[in-house]
Amino acid sequence: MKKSIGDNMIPHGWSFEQGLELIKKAGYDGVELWLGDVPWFQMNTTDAQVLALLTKVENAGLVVSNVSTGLHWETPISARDPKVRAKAVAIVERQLETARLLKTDAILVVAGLVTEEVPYNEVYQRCVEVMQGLGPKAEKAGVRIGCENCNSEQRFLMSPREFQMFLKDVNQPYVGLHLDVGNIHDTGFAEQWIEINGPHITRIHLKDVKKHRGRCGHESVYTNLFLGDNNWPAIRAALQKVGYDGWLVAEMEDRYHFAKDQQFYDTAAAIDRLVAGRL
Amino acid sequence: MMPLSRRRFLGMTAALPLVLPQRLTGNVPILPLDPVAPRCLLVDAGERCVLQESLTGFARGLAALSIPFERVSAEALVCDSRPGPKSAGLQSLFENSHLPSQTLDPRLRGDDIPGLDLCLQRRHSREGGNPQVFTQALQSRRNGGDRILTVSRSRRSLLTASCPGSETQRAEFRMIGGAEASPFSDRAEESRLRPAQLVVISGAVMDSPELAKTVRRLSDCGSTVLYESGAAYAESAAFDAEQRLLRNYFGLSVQAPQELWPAKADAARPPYVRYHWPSQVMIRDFSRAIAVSGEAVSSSHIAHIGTAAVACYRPVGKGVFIFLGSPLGPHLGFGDAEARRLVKAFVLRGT
Repeated sequence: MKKSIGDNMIPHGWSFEQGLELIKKAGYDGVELWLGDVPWFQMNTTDAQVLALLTKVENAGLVVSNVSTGLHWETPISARDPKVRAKAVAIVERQLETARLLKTDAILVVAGLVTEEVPYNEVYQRCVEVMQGLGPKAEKAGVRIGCENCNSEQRFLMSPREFQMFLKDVNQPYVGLHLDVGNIHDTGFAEQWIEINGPHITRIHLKDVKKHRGRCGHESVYTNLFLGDNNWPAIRAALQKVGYDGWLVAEMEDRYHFAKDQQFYDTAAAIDRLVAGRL
Repeated sequence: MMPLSRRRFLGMTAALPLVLPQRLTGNVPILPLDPVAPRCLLVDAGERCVLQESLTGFARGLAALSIPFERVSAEALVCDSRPGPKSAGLQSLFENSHLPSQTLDPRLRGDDIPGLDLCLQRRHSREGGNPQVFTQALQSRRNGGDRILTVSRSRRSLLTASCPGSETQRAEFRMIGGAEASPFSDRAEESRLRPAQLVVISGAVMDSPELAKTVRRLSDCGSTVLYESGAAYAESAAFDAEQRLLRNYFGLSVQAPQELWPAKADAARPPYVRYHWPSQVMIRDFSRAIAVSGEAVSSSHIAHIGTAAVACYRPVGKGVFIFLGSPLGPHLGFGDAEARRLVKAFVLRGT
């Protein structure tokens, strides 16, 4: 398994190059690029500029593990307004294009957002239809779309079997699951998600979670690896069981308040111990 | 003959079609349930359909309810209502037929239509099991002019014949369910639109006078037009145009679209539209709605969100114009049972 971390973790005020240097120094193999979340990689970033980013990544001795985005929180593919939906699809299409340019084969999509306004049935059907439309494009690009399980925030696809059914309904080989083992909270167990959806996992986000607390204002329930309630030995065993040998991408929501670069080193060391089974 | 036992009688009635008790009640006008004749036209407003999801939803809903319908482009309808030659629109209408493919009725061969020779040409055939569309060319000796008759295999009830050329060469041909053929009508000046039991125009914005005129004509000649406005999702200029045309053609006054879920809502509210007619149902809102102003007679209001009327029923000419200011089609697509019940009620009681 290979280690990666998002470029949205790069401390504010740091340049992309400085961030890449830190990531390499901390021992990561790759970097996850976040479309729309960082100044250097936006929707209007041209192909030439994307290729320049790739050059910088390669110069730092890294590769791009995947292309993610947080843009779908504001522009969900499940929106009722067809204009918003079209914009959401355009974001995914740009992710696919840039993933190809950046020589990676996976993107992360937040598929669907259930709200008081837009109910579950609508979100489900729209997401299935949108993903059915995007699947062939992903296949053509040779890039897999990983729909992330953002259980609590999305209020959508809350259980592993539900997610399995969703993928079955989408029925596209290039649409799978980008599993975040920290997002499951107290609605289930990450290792069971891995077991049930193993072959469909495109990438894995790593973070820990303090269960049973729920979200409270700005206080995150997410925390550094091994500080929360995830059962890491079980997660590791499940990964072994399904034969997952892909990228482990660190996504720390709660950030160090001081010595911000230290979080990169600590997280890398924790992932090493997880991979080695020294838990 | 042995008298029927009560038990046997009940057993027999249980096997009767479900529609029979409704026919017997007599308290609602029941439309003929001929499975062959189309009951409904679903109009695809093309670029004026701002909520494509709604159109798809109606198609799914009608199919789920086993209500035969034909999908027709608004362009074809508009063309159909214009004096002068046309045929492309009709062809697209038949290509979109959702009625089951059937063998060509012998009566359509024209043997029993006086004054006509008929030549059948296979014009278009789709692979993959879709209904085939045939075009028949009819030559009329009566007026000495060629007339083209477009016929679908589904024996659609409305068949229109026309011929490029002068208006006097146009003719109309009507056949109901393949059962009988009426002679040509030479009323060239009259619109070629024929009433359908229900005409659904979904997710559209009525920003063209031609479309408004066509819808008005459909109502005038006896159709029930269910107009579901998608204008709340259109540009404001398009909504303004629709507002003006609704007032001019249907005497209907509508308000600017309302956001039902503002970011900072003061208080929680039920997310439902309450329909009172033709069926009492509650269906989810669709985030934005267009309210009907108070000018309309209150009894014509058929649905409310809170206290605001968002749908109304208006007798227009020989028919009816029903305005829906809150999209219904998407909910049909999502399988909402109440929404489907409502549409069924529109079909059954619409006229």
